[in-house]
Amino acid sequence: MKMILPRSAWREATALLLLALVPALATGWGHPLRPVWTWARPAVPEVALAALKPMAATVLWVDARPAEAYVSGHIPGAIALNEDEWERLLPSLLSVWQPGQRIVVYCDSSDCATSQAVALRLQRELQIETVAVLRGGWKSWQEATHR
Amino acid sequence: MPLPLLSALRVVAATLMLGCFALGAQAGLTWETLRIAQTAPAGATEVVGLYRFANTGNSPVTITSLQPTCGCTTATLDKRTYAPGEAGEIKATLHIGNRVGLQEKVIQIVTDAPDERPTTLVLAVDIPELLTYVPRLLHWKKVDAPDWKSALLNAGTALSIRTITLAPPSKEVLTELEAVEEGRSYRLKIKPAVAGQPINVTVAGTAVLADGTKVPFSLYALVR
Repeated sequence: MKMILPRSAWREATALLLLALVPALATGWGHPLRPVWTWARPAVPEVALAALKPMAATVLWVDARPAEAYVSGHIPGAIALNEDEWERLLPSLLSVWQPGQRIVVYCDSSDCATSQAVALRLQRELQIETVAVLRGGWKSWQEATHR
Repeated sequence: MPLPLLSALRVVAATLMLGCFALGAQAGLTWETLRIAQTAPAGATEVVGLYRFANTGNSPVTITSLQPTCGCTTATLDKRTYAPGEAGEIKATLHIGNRVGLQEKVIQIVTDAPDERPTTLVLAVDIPELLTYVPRLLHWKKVDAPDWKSALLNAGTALSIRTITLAPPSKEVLTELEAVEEGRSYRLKIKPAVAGQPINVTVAGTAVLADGTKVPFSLYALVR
């Protein structure tokens, strides 16, 4: 026998669900322990190491990691530039950068947001448009070169 | 329509409603807040956020991992294991360096409480830019005519600009400073002194704000 719900049941169910939605939305918006969500896409485009191979000789690498990490090891030819010492390090970048040259910024790995911050700052302050972020960061370089 | 089915729907809906309120509950550590937002005072070199928590569970909880995702942020706590009912706090410190604007730094917390997912703490710090100057880089190709190019220096906050002083310029460039809006906006014009010669020059100066704060700035002129 086909069971058909009366319209009143549907109306009541809908009303109850909408009522449940109100505290749910309020919790999601205002609860101090709500999860920290981020739907933001990276503002500066990411590029994979493999995609850079054809132009590897012309790319200017920028290492956005702390100074100690840079000293321990970096992509050959990379210039150190981080927000801890932005003012001191920026002239070194400008002494080697050629207008129009592609800059690729990296930090530790995909979990690190520092490369985005440095890349955005290069775009905003210097209005350099040819900036990208290395997907996977230093970790991806190490994996590729140790194969 | 059989009455028990309607009643069942009501029970399901009521359970969903109760479930919404239950989302905030968790065993183990309970946090006073997961996000701290602050504005850095002018001239500050670091900003601290204190995340208070308590063990509201029935067994001791050990914080096994306390990991900031940025090297610019440190997180410390007095001890790792908290008895039921015991409270503690994590001190998160953002080292400002040369950062400006809104900085959102994340610290991941992992405990040994059963079924407890990692907790994400966020320290959001707005670092005011007292002076903005864009673009910082002016460049000409060697074949370009050495025309004037300019950058705008603007007061970044409500504090107006009292004076702007340029350091003695390099002989390789000429500079001019003009007010666009007195106290708020100035145009710094730069041009190479000689056409066709490669240059890499820093044009430096200091802005003094209405409250006496001195803000150094530097722009770069390239001919390549």
